[in-house]
Amino acid sequence: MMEDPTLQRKTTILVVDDEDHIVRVVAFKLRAAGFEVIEAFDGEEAWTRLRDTEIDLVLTDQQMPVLDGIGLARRIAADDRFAGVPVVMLTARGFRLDPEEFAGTGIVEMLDKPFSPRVLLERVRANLDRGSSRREAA
Amino acid sequence: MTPAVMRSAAADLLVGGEIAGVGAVWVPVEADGPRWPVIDDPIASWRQALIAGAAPIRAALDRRLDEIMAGTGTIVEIMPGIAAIGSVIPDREQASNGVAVLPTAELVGEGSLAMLCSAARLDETLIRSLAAEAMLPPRAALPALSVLVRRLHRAALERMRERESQQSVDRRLAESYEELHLLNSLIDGLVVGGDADEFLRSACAELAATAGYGWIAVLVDEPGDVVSDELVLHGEGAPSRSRLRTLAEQAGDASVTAIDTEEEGEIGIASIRGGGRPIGVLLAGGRGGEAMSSVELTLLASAAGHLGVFLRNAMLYADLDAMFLGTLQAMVAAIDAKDPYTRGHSQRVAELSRDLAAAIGLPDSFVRTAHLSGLVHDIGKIGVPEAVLRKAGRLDDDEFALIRQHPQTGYRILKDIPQIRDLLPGVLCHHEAWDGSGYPAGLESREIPLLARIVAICDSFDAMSSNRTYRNARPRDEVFAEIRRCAGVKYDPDIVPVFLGMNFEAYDRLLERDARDQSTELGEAA
Repeated sequence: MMEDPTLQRKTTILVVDDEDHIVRVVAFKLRAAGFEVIEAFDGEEAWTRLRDTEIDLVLTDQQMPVLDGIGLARRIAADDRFAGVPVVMLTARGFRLDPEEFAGTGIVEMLDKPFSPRVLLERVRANLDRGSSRREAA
Repeated sequence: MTPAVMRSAAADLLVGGEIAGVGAVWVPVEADGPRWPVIDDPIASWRQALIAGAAPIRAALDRRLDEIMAGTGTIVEIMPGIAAIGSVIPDREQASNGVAVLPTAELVGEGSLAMLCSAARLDETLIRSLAAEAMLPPRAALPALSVLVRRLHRAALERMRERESQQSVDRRLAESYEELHLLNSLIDGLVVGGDADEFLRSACAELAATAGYGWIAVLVDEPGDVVSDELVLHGEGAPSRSRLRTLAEQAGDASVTAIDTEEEGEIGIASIRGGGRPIGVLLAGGRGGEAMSSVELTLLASAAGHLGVFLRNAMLYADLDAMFLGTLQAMVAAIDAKDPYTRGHSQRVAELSRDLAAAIGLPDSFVRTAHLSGLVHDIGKIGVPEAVLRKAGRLDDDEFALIRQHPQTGYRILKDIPQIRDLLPGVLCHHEAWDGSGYPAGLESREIPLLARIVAICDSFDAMSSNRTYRNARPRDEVFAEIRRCAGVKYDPDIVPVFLGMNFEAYDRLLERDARDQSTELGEAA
């Protein structure tokens, strides 16, 4: 079967977490909702994936080995190629970012773990909508 | 499409992909006959276009289907240059049967190609060149291919099963996360002494959203002081109150169960237990005909477990609170008994203080404190001799000194009870005056605790508005004028206008009732 180039590209989400059960749950939920999902298990691996594939939204854990969520978000925000790619971050309950840490990271939302997969899907959709209307307005 | 059919379509696609690798077209065979694949691209897959597109091949396969499907690996040459290999794999849940149809090298030589191309409306020259380029296997290679087809078929089904079990693990994992999240948010709301109505409502909303219910209902056996109504309902389309009761009875003692009703569809029912006995029922439904799985029932049961713990705690707390208030009221009744002229005074000051604190806009906890502080403000009068309290004439200096001790006496009585520490300023300082002329400490303006400034106005107002040993009640306008005159002298000038703006209807009813009781009692005494 040949790929029809006129077919619309699926919205692609990069899911990053060092705990593979989290990646599996999130990927399962997002794929079942029709999204394309790329998986990565630390920030550095995520960065490589970002450069090979067109990504519409990054969903990342904060605490990870090698490169953490904030580090990844900061790199994304600093690179013109990924300008405007929204980052949703999963954090342990009670984790709070200082506003100055938040600044210049492209993080649009933080979600507490343990999260509800249903709510997570809703928030991904909402942030994608917001992102596209922002791009259209620009 | 039912899940079983979807599953088999996915399996066919996977098997078809594998079989295409050996140059064959996979034709799944169901009980009612072969299911020919849809031709998607005649050039990329000329074999598929030829085999699925040529009616004579379909007819030949139909004719000899029983023979082909007789055993797995059976090879039948259905026409010169077109071979069919049957593959039958009995699966645990669902058999997967099909035929791999493939062109062999003989197709080009023995002449049926021209006929087939015209039947399938394909360009013969093009197909002939594609077939030549493809290096079709000779007839002699068919036994080896048959083994390969069977292996590929089996391997593809194996992969399919793995993928499915992986997905079912992921689905279960996602459901567990959902449950964990629900329980976490319920625990967040488990604040003892918090608003039970509010907690039940938010718990129902959370459960409805998580498990996809149209409605959730909680029936509480003995609402008492804990919840405002025996029924807490979330969502639309729930059965009536009496119907819910009937359903709850139908479920009996089961910890969790589903009842299939004709009118309302399937309804999940979980017993809410607290302190080892049933104290209520959690009901959920409105899933639009969708069956309830064990996952939803487990979720319902864990939510009911948490509700049970919460309700039980709330009930214990309410009991404790009622006992505490009862104790205070008993102490207050002891003072009232000493002097029928002040009967009901404490309760009236309590209610006025509560209303005034609320009118000022203070938080609920302070409003409650003001109520209790008003109730016990005169408790120190227990230490004042009855002769002094009931004396109709003028008090001499010694007698007045005894009266003036009641704030400290009250403070000493109550100070060792930790639960009422907050009330103490109202007891000790309710006779302090804004200008510093009061007692016992002679505090002035904002040195006087706010609670005491509140109780002080209410105390004076009630004293002036009711009959006393030494005089009769004064008219309302006169009392108001006196309080207004004393704003900034005896009373906090900021609080006075708020007090004068209050509604005194409830107070007047209370006053009238107490006055009736008082006259009866004084009449009996005389």
